[in-house]
Amino acid sequence: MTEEFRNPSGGRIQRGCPISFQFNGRRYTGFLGDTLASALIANGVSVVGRSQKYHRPRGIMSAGLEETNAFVQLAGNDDEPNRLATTLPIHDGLVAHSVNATPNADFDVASLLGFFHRFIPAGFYYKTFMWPRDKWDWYGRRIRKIAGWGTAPAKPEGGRYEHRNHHCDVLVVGAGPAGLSAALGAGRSGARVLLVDSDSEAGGKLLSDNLTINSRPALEWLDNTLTELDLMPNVIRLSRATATGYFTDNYLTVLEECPDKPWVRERLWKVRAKRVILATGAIERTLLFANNDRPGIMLASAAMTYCLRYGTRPGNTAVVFTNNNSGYRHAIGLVKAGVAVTALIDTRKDADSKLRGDAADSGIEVIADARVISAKGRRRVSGVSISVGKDQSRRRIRCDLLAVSGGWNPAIHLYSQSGGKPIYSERIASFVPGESVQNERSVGACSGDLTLQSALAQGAEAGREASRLCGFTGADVATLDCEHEPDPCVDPVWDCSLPGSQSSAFIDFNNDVTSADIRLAMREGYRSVELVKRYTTAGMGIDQGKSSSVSIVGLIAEIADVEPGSVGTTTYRPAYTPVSFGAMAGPIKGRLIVPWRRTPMTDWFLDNGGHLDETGAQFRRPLFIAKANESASEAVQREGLAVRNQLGIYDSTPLGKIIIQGPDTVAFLNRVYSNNWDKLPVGRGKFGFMLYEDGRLLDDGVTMRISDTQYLMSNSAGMADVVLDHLERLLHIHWPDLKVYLTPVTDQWAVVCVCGPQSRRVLHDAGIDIDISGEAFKFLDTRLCTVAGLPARISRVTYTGELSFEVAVATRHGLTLWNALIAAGQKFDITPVGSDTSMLLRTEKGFIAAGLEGDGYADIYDVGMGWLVSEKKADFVGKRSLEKNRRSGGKRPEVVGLLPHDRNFVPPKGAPVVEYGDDQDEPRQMGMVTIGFYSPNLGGSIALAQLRDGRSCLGQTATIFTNAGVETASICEPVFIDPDGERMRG
Amino acid sequence: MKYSGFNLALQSLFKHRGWQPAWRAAEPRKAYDVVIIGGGGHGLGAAFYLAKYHGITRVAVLEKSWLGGGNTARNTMTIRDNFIYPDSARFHREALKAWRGLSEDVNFNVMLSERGMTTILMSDRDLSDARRMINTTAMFGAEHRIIGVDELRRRLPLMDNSERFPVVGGVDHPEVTVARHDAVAWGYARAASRLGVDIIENCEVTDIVLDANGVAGVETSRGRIETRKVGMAVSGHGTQVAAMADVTLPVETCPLQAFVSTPIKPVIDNVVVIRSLNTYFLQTDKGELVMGSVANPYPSFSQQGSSAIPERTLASILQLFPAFERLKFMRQWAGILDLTYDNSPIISKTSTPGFYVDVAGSGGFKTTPLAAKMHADLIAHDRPDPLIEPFSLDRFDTGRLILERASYGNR
Amino acid sequence: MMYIPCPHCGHRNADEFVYGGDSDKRRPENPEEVSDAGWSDYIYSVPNVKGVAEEYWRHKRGCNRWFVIQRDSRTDRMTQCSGN
Repeated sequence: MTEEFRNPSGGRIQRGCPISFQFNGRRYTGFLGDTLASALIANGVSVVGRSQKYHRPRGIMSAGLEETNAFVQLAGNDDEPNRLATTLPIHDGLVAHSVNATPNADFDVASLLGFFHRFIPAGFYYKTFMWPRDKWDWYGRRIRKIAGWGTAPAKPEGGRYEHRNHHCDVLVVGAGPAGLSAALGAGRSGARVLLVDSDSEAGGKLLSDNLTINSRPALEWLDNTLTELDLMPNVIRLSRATATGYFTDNYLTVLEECPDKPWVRERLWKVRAKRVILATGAIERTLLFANNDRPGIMLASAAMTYCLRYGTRPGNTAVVFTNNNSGYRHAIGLVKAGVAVTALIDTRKDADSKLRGDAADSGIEVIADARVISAKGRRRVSGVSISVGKDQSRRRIRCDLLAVSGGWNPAIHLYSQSGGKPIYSERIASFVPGESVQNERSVGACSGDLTLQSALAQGAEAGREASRLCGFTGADVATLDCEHEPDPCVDPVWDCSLPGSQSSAFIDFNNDVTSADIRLAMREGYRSVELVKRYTTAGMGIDQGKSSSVSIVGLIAEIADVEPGSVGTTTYRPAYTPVSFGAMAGPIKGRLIVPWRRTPMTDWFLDNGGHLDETGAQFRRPLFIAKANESASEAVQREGLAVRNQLGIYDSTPLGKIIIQGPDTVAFLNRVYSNNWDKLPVGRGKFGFMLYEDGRLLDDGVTMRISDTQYLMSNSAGMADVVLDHLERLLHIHWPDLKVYLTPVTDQWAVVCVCGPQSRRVLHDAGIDIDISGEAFKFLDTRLCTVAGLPARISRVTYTGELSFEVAVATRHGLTLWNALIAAGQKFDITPVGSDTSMLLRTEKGFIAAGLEGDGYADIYDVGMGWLVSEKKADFVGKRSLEKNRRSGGKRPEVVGLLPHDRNFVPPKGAPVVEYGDDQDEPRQMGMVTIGFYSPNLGGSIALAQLRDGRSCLGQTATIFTNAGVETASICEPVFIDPDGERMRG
Repeated sequence: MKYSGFNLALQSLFKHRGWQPAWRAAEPRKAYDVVIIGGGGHGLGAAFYLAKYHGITRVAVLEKSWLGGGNTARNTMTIRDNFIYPDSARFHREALKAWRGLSEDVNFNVMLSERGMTTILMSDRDLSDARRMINTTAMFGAEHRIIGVDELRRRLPLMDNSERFPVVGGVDHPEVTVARHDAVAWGYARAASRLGVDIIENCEVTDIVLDANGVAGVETSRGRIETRKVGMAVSGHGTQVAAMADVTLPVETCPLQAFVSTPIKPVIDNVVVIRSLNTYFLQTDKGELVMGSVANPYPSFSQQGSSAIPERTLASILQLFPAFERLKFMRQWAGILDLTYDNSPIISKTSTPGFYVDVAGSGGFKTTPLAAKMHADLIAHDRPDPLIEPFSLDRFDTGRLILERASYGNR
Repeated sequence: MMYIPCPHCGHRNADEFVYGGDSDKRRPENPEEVSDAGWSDYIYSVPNVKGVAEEYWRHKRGCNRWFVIQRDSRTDRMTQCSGN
C-alpha cells in the first residue's frame, strides 16, 4: 500500500530507511523515525481501535503520551498489551493490532452496543442486575469478557530489565526548550545534571512547530544546545526516559526504554536529586461537542506534529476549532504543510486582530463567536455542524480533518505527586503548580507560561539557581529572543454540544464517558469531583485522565455554576505513564526474591534426599531426609525411632547465637529473662524464657556462660532476628546505662547435634579430647575441645529429650565435622534427622514451642513454665503485664496433653477442642490442638493442646472437632516420654 | 424511585431525567439522637441499621469530605474469612455472610461477586498454617480446602514455579467475595437517607462536647450539634477523633498501598494470594489487576506512596507469573489504616458514656456490613452483642488480645 | 522514599532503617509502682502524632545504631536529629 498521506518532503523521518510493518493484518510501510501512529496516518488508516463501552470507532487523537484512543496489542516476539501507537517507534517486523475489537477495528460486532447507549448511562449497573439475589457475578463474568483492553502474553519473554541508582545535583525532567535551557544553565556551572525526556528525540515542541530563536530557526539552537550538553562530562542526557514517579525527598523513578540495546529492554532509574526542575510541558485538550470522538478529529498540536515532524498529512481538508490563540498558529502551520484549512472556528467574539489577519492571509475563513456542535461521519469525520453567533445560525462545513485546540493543561502530574497543591489559573483556564513542597521548581509550559520566550528564560534561570543552591557558581546563559507569541486568551467553554442532543459528546474517550453522564451523576447527588469521577469512571482509564481531568473539573464547575478553582483537582498518583511489571521488578527475580541462607550442610541434604523447607530467618532446612521410595511420614517415623533408640544427627546451625558481654551482662540477663542469672558458673548453661513487655512469650533457649565475661545466647531459628532487635532496643533506648554489648554470631558457627543413646560413643569414635562422661560433663555443661581434629565447642543441650551433644565449629569446618560424625556413626546406623522429626520428638517430650503452644495470649504459666519465673526478682521484661493480665484476664488457655482414644487418629493442628451444650448442636470452643503426631515410640497418636482451664481438666475427656467428624481424647499431662528427664541427663 | 431494570429502561425513554439524588444533601439540624462521625461504608452502614433495625432515625452522618472518600475508596475490595483465632474466625465468618443480600437490602447493586480466592502455598510451613486455619474455621461453617498442585495449575494456568519457593499446593476459598467498594458507601447513603437519616458532607467534627453524663454534642465546621450518642466510624484519624472524647485508642496510623495495572482481558478469576511473599491480586470487572502487599512499616499520615513496595509486590507476582512481565503498572495509591495493637477490630463502648467506636484494626472493608450492624446495635442498646464482646477495648486491660496474623500490616 | 540523615553515616535511603517508636516512650523505672491503667497505657498506646514528632529510628542495614529524629508524619519530612 502506498503512503498517500505522506508529503514528498519534510519531517524528521529517514526516508532512506523504509520499514515494513503489519497493522490489523495488513502490511504497510513507513520510515525510520516514524511512530506507529504517524506511519498509519501516512497510510491513510483512520480507525485504529474501538472504545471501551460502546465500541465506537476511534482514531489517533494526539501525538504523544496523552493519547487516549490508539492503544494497540503487539504480537509475535514483542507480544505486549496496551502500547500507545503514538509513542511506539516502528521497526521491521512489527506486528500490531487494535485492542477491544472483534473481529477487527474496522468492523466490530460489539459496536451494536452503541445503539443501546441510552440504556446504559453512567452507573447503570448500580441500578440493575440485582436479580436474582447476589448473582451479579453471572453478569460480571459476561461484562469482564467484553471489558479489558489488550491480552496478557501467555509466555514470559525472559526479562531484560535493570534498575540503576543515580545521585545528581540537578534532575531536569523534559528536554523541550525550557528543560534544555535549564540543563545548560546548570551544566555550565559544573553541577551533575541528569536530563531525561520521554521522547525519542530532544526538542519538545521545537520539533513540531516553525519557531525561531534569535531570528534563526529554533532547530539550529536545538542542535547547538544538544552538542554542547553532550560534550559536558557532568551532564547525562537520556531519551525515551520518562519520569514516572516523584516520591518523598526528591526521589524519582525514571523509566528508560532501550529499543537499541539488545542486553536491556527497559531500565528503571532511581534518582535522588538535590534539586529537581520540572519542564514537562503542557498537554492540549479537546473540546466537547457531539461525536467529538470521530476518527479524523485530532488535537491541533498533534496535527502540526504529524505534518512537521513526520512529513504526513493527517487530512486533506481541515477545519480548525479553537477557543484560544494557539489554534491560529496551528491553522496557519497546517496550511504551510499542505493541508487545506477551509475554516477556523473560534468560540471567542474578538480574537487578536493580527492573528485573524494572518489567518486570512493564509486563505483561512475565520468564523468567530461560533462553536462546532457536532461532527459528521462515522468511521472518519466528513464535516462539522457549527452554530454561529447569538442567533445560533447553523452551518455545515465539509472536512476530513478537524483539528481541535481547547487550550492547554500544564503537565503538573509530577508536581502533584511531589505533594504540591495545584491552583486554578483563570489566565489559561487550567491548573498550574502552587507552592513547591519539595526542592523542586516548574518551568516553561508546565508552570503555566506557554511561550517559547519564557520557557527559555525560566529554564536558564532555574538551571542557574538550582546549581547555585547545590554549591556551584552559576554560569551565564545568554538571553535569547523569540518571535512574539500572544497570550492564549482561553475562552473557558466546557461543553459545546446542544442541550438534549441525541449524540454523545465525550469527555473521557478512554472510558466512554459523555457530558450527559457527568450531568446525570451530578443530578443524582454525586457532586464532588471525586464522586463524579468514581460514579462515571471519567478520568480513570489507561490515560489516567491526562487529556480529560481538567475538562471534567471545568464541566462540573459549569454545571454547578461555580469557579473551577473551587471544585478542586484530583491528586495525580504515580505512575505518570504505565511501567511494565518487569521494569518495576527489575533484578528482584528468581532466587533473588528473598535471600536463601544456607548452612555448610545444605548441599549434603540436597544430595541425600533432604526435603528442604522454609524454617524461618530465610533458611531452608530439611524437614526429614527421605530414603528412596519413602513417604514423608515414614521418614519422620524412622528418624524418630532412631533418635530414641540409636543415634540421630541434626544440623542446628540455623539456631540464633548472640555473644553477650560487658560488665552488666548478668544484670541484663536478669532483666530480659524471667528466671535468675546471678550464679551461673563458667562452663554452664541455663534454660531461660524471654517475654515481650506485653507478657506474651517471645522465645526460649539456653544461654551459656562461656568465659568470665562472655555469655552465648541461643535463640530459635525463626526468632533470632526478632530477639536481637528486642535486646538491642532495650539496651539502646531503655537501658543505655547498662554496659552490655551484643554480637550476633549465627553465621560464624556451624553446629551439629548428635542425639540418642549412642551419641556419647559416636563422639568418642570421631575423636574428642575431653572427658564427656556423665559425671565429668553434665547436662547443660559447655567446654572448648577438639572434635574429629577440629577446634570446637561442645555443649549438652537437647531439643528432643534424649542424651545429646551440640558441637559447634567454625562455619568453614562444618561439613568436615558432619562427614566425620556420619562416618563414625555408621556402626550405630547414624540417622540424619530433620526439623519435622525434631518437632515430633519435642512433642513426645512435652517441650513447648513458644510459637505454637504459646500462640495467642497464652503466657509462661499457661505453657507450664511457671517454674522459670523468679519470685525474687522485682522486675523483668514482661513481669508487670504478666501479673496484671493474670489478675484480670479470666480463665487461662493452659497447655495439656491429649491421648486420642482412637490411637490412630492424629489430632490436626488448629483443630478446635469443643464442648457441647445442652442443645447438642452448637459446639462451644474450649481450646485448640497446637500440634499432633503419631508417635512411633509410643505406638499411638499424641497431641498438645491449649485448653481453657486445661490443668483442671486433667483426666477428663476432650472432644476434638474435625471436618470428618468428632473424635475424643483423654486429657493428660503434656509429657509422654521420660517425664523425669533421665534420658537427657544421663 | 426504585432502582430496577424496568425503571432504568423507562428512564432511558426520558433521557434519565427522572432520577432523584441518591441521598438528600441535608443541612445539619440542631440536635440528633445519634451522630455518626465518618461517612464511609462503616458509618453510613451504622446509620442505616440504626434506622432500619432500631427505629432510630434522628441520625446524622457527618463526613468531613466526600462520601466514601476514606478507606472505602482505597482498598482492594476483597471480602475474606481466613482468620485463625476462634474469636476473629467467627467474627469474619459472620462478616462475610453479612454481605449476602446487601444489594437487595439497600436497593443498590454493590456488585457482590463470589469470585473465590486461591492461596498459593510455597512451603510446608504455609501448608501447615493453612491446615490450621481450615481446621479452626470449619467449626463456623467455612468451606476452605487444600488443593493439590495439579488443581492449582488448572485454576491458574499462567502460574509457573518459583525458583526460590517451590509451589506445594494451594487453598481454595470458594466463598471469598469481591464487591464494588464505592457502591457500598453510596448504597448505604441512599438507603439511610430514604429512612430519614441526614447525610452531611463537608462537615468536619472539630470537637466532641462532654458534660458530667458523657457526650453532650459535637462541634463541627458547620456549627454545634447536640446529641447524647456519638458513634465513631473513621479510619486514618481515629486517634484524633477519639481524643476529642478523652479516649485513647491503641492505634497507629500507617499507609497501606495498592497498585493497579492497565486493563487486560480476563486472566484470573479468583483473588490470588501468594502467602510466602505477602502479596495478593485480583482482576476487576474492568480488567485491571489490583495488587496489594504489606503496610508501610512506620506510622504516617502522608498518603504518598513509595516505589519500594510496588517494586517488591510486582517482583513477587512475577516470581510465580513471569508471563505478566509486560503488563503495565498504571497507578498506585495509599490509604491510611488505623492499625490496632493486635490488628483486630475494636467495636466497643468507651470510658466516655455515649461515645462508641468502630475501628477496623487493619483493613476494614471486608467487615463493613457486620461491623456497621454491630456498631448500630451497640449504640442502640449500650451493650455489645456476644459476637463483638472479644473486640471491646477492655482487651487491652486484660491482655486477651486477638493477634491476627491473617490481617495485613502485621507488626 | 525518605532520605534519612543518619547522624553516623549521613543520608541513606529509608529502606536501610527501621522505625523505633516515639522517643518519649521510656520504660518506667519501677513498673510495680505503675497503676494497671497506666501500665496498659504504656504498653498499648502510642501518641500517633499527626504532625511533628520525635522518634527513634535505627540504621539497621548500616551502622545499626539508634538515633532520635524529628519527623512530620503529615509529609514524612525529617527535620532534626541527634545521636543517642
